[in-house]
Amino acid sequence: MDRGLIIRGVRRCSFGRFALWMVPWALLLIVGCYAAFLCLYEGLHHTNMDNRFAFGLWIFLDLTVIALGAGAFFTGFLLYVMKRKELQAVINSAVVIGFICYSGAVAVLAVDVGQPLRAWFTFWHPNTHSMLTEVTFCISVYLTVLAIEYLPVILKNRKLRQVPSFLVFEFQLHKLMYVLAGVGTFLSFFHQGSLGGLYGVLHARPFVFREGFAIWPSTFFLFILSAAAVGPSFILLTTWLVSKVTRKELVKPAVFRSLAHVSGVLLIVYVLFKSIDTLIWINGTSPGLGFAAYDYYAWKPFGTWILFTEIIVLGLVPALLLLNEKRLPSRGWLILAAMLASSGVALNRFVLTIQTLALPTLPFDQFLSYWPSWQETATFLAVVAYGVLVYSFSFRYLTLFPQEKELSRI
Amino acid sequence: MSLGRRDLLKFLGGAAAGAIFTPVPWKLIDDVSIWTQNWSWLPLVPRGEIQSKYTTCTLCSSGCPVRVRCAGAQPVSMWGAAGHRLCPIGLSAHHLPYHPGRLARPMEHTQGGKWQPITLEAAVERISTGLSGCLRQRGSIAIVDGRAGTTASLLYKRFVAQTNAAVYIADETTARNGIDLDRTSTLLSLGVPLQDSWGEPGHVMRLQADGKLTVIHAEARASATASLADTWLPLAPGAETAFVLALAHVILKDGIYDRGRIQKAENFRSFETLIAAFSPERVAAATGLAPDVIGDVARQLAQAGPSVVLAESRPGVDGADELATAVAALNLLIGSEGSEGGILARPEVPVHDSLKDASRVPATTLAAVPDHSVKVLWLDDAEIPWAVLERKLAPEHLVISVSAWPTGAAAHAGLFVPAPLFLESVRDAAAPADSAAAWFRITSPVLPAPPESREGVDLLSQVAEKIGLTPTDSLVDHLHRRAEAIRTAGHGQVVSYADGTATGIAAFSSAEDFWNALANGGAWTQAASAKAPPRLRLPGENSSLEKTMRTATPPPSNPGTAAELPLVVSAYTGPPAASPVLSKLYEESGLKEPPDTAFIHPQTAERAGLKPGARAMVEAGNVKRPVLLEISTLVMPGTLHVSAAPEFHPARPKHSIAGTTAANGRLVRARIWNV
Amino acid sequence: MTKETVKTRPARYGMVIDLDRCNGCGACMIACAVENNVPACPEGVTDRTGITWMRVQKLSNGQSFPDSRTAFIPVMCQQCGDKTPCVSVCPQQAVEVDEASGIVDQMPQRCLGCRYCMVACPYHARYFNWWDPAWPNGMERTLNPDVAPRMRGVVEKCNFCHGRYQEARAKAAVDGAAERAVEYTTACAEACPTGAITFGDLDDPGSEVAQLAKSENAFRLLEKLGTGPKVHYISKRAWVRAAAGSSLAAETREVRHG
Repeated sequence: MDRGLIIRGVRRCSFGRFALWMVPWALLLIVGCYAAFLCLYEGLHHTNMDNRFAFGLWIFLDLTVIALGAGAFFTGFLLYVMKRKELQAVINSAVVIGFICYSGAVAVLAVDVGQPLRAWFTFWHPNTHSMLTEVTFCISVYLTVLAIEYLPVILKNRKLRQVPSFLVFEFQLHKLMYVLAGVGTFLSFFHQGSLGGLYGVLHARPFVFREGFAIWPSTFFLFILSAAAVGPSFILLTTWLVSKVTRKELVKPAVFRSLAHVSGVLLIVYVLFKSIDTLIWINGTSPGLGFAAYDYYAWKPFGTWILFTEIIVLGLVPALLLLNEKRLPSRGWLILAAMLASSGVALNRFVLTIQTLALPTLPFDQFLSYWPSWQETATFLAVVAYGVLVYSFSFRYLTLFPQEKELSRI
Repeated sequence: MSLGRRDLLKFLGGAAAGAIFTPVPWKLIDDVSIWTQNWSWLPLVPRGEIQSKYTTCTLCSSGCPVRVRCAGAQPVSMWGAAGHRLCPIGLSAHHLPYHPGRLARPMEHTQGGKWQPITLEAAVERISTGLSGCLRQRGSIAIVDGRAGTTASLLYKRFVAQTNAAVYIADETTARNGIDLDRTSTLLSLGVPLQDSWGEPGHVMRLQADGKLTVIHAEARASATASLADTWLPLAPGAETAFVLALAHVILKDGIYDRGRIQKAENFRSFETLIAAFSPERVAAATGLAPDVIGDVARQLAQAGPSVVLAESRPGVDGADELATAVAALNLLIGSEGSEGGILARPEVPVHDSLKDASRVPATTLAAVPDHSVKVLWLDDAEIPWAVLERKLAPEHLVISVSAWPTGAAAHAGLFVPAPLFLESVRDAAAPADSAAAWFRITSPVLPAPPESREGVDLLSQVAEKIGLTPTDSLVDHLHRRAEAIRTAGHGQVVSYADGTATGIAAFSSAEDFWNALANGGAWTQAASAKAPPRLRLPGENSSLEKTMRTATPPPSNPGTAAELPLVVSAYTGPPAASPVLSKLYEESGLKEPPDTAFIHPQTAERAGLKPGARAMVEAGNVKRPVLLEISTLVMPGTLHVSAAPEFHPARPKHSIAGTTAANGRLVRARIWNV
Repeated sequence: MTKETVKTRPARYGMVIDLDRCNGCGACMIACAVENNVPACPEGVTDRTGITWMRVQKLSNGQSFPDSRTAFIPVMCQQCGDKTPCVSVCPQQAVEVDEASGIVDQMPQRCLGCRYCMVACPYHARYFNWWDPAWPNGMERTLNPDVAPRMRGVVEKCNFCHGRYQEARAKAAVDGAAERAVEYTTACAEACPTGAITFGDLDDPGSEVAQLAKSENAFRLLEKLGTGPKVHYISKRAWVRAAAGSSLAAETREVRHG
């Protein structure tokens, strides 16, 4: 029924089967939209956030998703700037994933703020001292860049190519790609950093406050580094997942290894700097503000295990695995390492968002816990569903993996 | 040039794209965000000229001077005046007329126990029928007055004098005597919440902070008053009387009292014999206090005078009378009766001739009313536990409540007639406990009263006419007459609320002048003078105190089975309802213990196997109530503390365990278990 | 040992709260709510979602009966004078420190409701409107005409009774008085029955508030963070100071040896 739309040379399941796959995700999207509607129409009391947990599930997952979405900019950077040509095999998929992650995050943010209609105030009355202003600027511009990067992928569709002006437009865009990749990389570096800075600058929150260089706290650089390190891992992970779901070989094994290697190198650097940063914080920054670092970890369940897990189990271990990608007995190990690395970055964002807010600051404060409401969870799951839907459409009708055609012939 | 459809579309597209670069869409977005938020969701503030009106707060007997800030005719905030500050409930009293729990229509309890609105005429008719049926039976009508010592009280007394069938029940202690607190040096309080709903707001704290007053507080819990007292005695519940008698024991033994006066008192020898049994060593176990601590307190009271001993009054509670007797004896012993800085007899507020006879009608205590004898019970803002009242009712009875709140005992009334609230009525305030002066302070209405509301005495007058008795003039008329009686008597002075200045009464040349001075914000007052009581009387061996030693037993160190514990109910004396905003603030800050919460020491909870933070049932006497069980290191191990608070939510269940168990004894054993 | 003099920027208005005089009655909270039109609660509001510009909290000495003691500490926006944590984080300048008064102002009509300022504030003094403001039927007639109620989805907090300050300024302008001569007091200070709250001009060395702020038992919350709060607390009781986290030099010694 949709044969005419499908790329030549690859095999896709029947439309009926495709529709069957899409239905549950669409339902999830509808439920999530209803939850978001409740929050928008009746107020944020539909969430379990409160005056202490002013940020909750949404901000935590937004940060995580944006860190993982960094795969888009970093793969682009590696391909167009560092000329790692083998990554041409995943760049389209990376762009789509980046677009999904960023647009999803922005959509959730629109529900998260109390007065979304005033979002443009940030552009009209920007506070140049605020990391959030930087984040807002960069993310909105970068989302536009991603949309432009996504466009040629769409325009390459069989049917759309039949329109001659689209073809010309696409060709022109292609020449722009190097510029866009450069701009995207700069913007991404900056807002990943600013997202880290978001917490690092909170000088009255000693659990997250970090010293740094000039106006940037160390978390600014750590966020860039961790996002760059984990981005390729996440691309690796998603490529593997798509290939599992579709039961197709999509890229050559060398691509996996290349992604893993880049990821491993950056991750080991990250782990090193993160460890140094943590030591400086424990011995200098935090006690200087009147807070002994070990006190933070006296509050159960957030013991020192969380620090150990973040740096060693989900940092050093996957870094070593990824670095030794050639010696690993099977691809399973590579996938495991990528999973660990991705979870590590998620845990880092969790610690900064949730643990920070759970910890008391005043001596007569209580340690608080938080559990998201169904509206929060559903709204977020809607973003996941939206991601799956967009990706599935893209996979079915667009060329996400150029090597697929070649590999399917074998 | 011809224009096609394509050109039109192009134009529209270009216009739309161009518009984005103009302020129009952005301004529209902003306006939409403001409209959506203003539109029906955001209330508008009142408009009108800002002005101050002065009046007297009649929510409790403190009678604080109030400045009401009004926008036009609408009160928008309340502030203390003439150097006084208001309590939280007074500060938000202008919210009370809009309280969702307020009843502004007469109601009747149906057979099914539900409230049903009736007309005022029907209510008067029903009361008349009820009253006329028992006019010939002595003691079958009981009027409980929650504001003893006011002009309305005199009108109730007048009714009682007319019929012979009725008794007037009120606690007139505060109306007759007051504490000369500003000159007191040492105050021993037995569980009185001095820092919380007792006396004028902040009075005790200010005296303490200025170094004028030393507070010794005895309570089985580290309450706010205990924590802020100069000395806190963690006294075991139920041992209060024994403790007081032990203090008397030390004072007698050490001879640190006015021998010349006290030894001439009636029953002195007998009292000495009675007291002999209460040595600090013997009561130590029951009170949980070391003998030398008791000795020190006794010596401090006797020597660091003027001293006063104060116990909370709990009408109708077993053991409360004994405690009152013992406290009175101790006050006598330390010389606080009738002396400066002690307990003084309040000068009488002059009464108009028409009510002179009525003023001589005695008040009865509830304890003196035989059980099951009352056929018509009239409650006027009376805060007495329902179980205490219930015991006095005959099988066939009618309970009438005149109040704004269907809470507490009023919740059990067969007939409910709404009374106007403070700010809606003209009334005089009762006398404050923490001053011995005579006061006449009236509140004038700032807001209109609901059309079907009635002052209790005005309603009774209407009923009296119906059943063939002489009606009285309205309360307002009587207040005018009383003001005139005060002016002609020529004593005292008027303190203006606006500026705190005092004017001698001679300066008021006409009745109208004087009335206006009071109604527009002024208090007439006459200072009390120290005067030794003519006859001293001490309780003797045969008094009820004799059994105290037997009943005072130490709290169990090991509660044993699933918690049978002595129950302590926290004291609360204050208005029955508070602003919903205040309730919200209290709930959110956790500042006040919420009602229906039981507190238990963590050790006790563990030993009894009780799970804190969970629902539990408390059973005391014949009352069973669900509570939330919390652990607290502030309460004495081996005891169960239940909070009593004003009914912040009148919609909540009506009788709390705090009210009902008191009936079964000052110290009851309660069973508690998790559910 | 003498304490270092309190360092704050030209600050103007500040507050000193004597914790030994606070009996936890809550008069300040309700006076504040009435003055600033803080709404009554909708169904379902909790201690964590409700708005209390001023919240009286309990302090405990951590001991068990009969050594246990309770004290109270009113906490509101501390009006930080140095590196005010909430000002720099706001993406759209909805928070600012007023030059003339030193008051940290929150502009609800500018607020996006991102709540970043709430995360930045270590005193938890900022509150978000999780609900539409609601009053029981008819009670909105009692609102203070000088203060606009806030809408859902924005952050609000104590602003040292901004409405009163504006009124005092207007009055001073009419009288031709200088900005420095503007005198007013906050609703909580006016209401406190025990006189525990003193409000005034910290820059005027002769003022009562400046004198009290210099007393040897005065401290501020989380002083080491260097936010320069302009709300000072006083207590003669060492345990109260310890429970409130006072970092007086004398205190650390006392606690260590005590």
